Amino acid sequence: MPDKSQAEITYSLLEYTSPFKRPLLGVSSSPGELISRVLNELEPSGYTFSGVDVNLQILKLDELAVVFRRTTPPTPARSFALGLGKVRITAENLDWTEADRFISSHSAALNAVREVGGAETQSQQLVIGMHIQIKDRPRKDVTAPLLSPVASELVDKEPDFSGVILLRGKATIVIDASSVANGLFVRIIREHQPEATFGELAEILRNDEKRIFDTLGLEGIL
Amino acid sequence: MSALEQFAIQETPPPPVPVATSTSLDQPRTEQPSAWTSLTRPWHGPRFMFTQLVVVDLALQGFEEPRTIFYQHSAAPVADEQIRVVEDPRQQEPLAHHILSETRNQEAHQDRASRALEQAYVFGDRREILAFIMGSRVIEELLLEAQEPLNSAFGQESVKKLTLVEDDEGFVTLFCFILAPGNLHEARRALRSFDESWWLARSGKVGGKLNFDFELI
Repeated sequence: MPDKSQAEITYSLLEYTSPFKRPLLGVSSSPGELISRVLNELEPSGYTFSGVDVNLQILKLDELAVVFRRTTPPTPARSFALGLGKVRITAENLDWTEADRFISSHSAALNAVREVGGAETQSQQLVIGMHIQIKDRPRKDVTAPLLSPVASELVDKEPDFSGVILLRGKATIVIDASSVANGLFVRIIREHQPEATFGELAEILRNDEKRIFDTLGLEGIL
Repeated sequence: MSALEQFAIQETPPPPVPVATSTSLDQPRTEQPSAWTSLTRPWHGPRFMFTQLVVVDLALQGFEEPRTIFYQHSAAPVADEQIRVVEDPRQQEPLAHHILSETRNQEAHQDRASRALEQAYVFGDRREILAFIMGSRVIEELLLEAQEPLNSAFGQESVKKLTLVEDDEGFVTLFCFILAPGNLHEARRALRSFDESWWLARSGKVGGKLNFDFELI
């Protein structure tokens, strides 16, 4: 492997989804206390009441959700969607420097859902998609070592790019071409035990990111 | 004609005409003659005697509430000189909307342009380079246009990296370096081909603020 190539994550989207064992039908008639508690916990991360919305046009109970959005600042976007059957947290361009605060407020909000709403976590899935731009080397050269030359014979000419999909248990790693110039699109999907904490999820994610950067010979800010 | 009938002719005022707005922020916003005073308007005729706003007294029979009545001053030598729209804060709204709309359009344009550029070029310092490009529509357009000629000369998968270079006198140039994996001779030939087929005819537009070169890898 040659020297490290400089790389930049130009865009990333993290999505955490946790379905409940049973839907929170008990809170659907008077959700005020739950909304108030969740908002209180999210406030340190910049969420405010003006960023809370509910789409009452939805007919399927499974899709009904109170969505809390960060408003200060509104970008990069952060949201906490509390549905009757699951909770989903999304964060754009999440920086590891703010991980502690993010984990603290979002896990507190999730705890509020468990305490006030009586939610029981069935499973936890964490997905991150990243567009990684390589600065000083063609992307095909970065991923070429991942495939044996035999794979190139699958197409009639030399491929412009080669990516990989790796599956192991409940984890999936995808390395593909990105729409960003000379970029890779990397997606990491992992399903975790219901009792795993956000801190543990974050540590596993960080190790995944580090390992991918190291394996691909990339150097940059995670 | 009774007084009531006379006033009632123009009981319903014509629709308000928005004040004409400046086409640029540099132009002062001046009072504009109200378009509805034009003599070509159907409610203008010899029997309307004055132009002013009148609140009809409740004593006038047939009206249950005060209402505004419009009628025209016949003595005005030129109607447009007599009647002008009084500055009204509410009429600022179209201008404010216009500015907001323009700002949003500008932001949307910049967003589209930066996305298009990011799909074609690798950025050295993203923020600085985008700011530099967005400061010149010509550079932005040339970079977007240059993709195909560059691909023709250097290959479809060629990596094009943008970097700001400042010379000793502080003059900043945006360089597009094509990362060339071949040998020096091939890279020079590709650059010459790009220059002759596309760049030389356009380079004068940017006054040295944009240039293309290659970097052997």
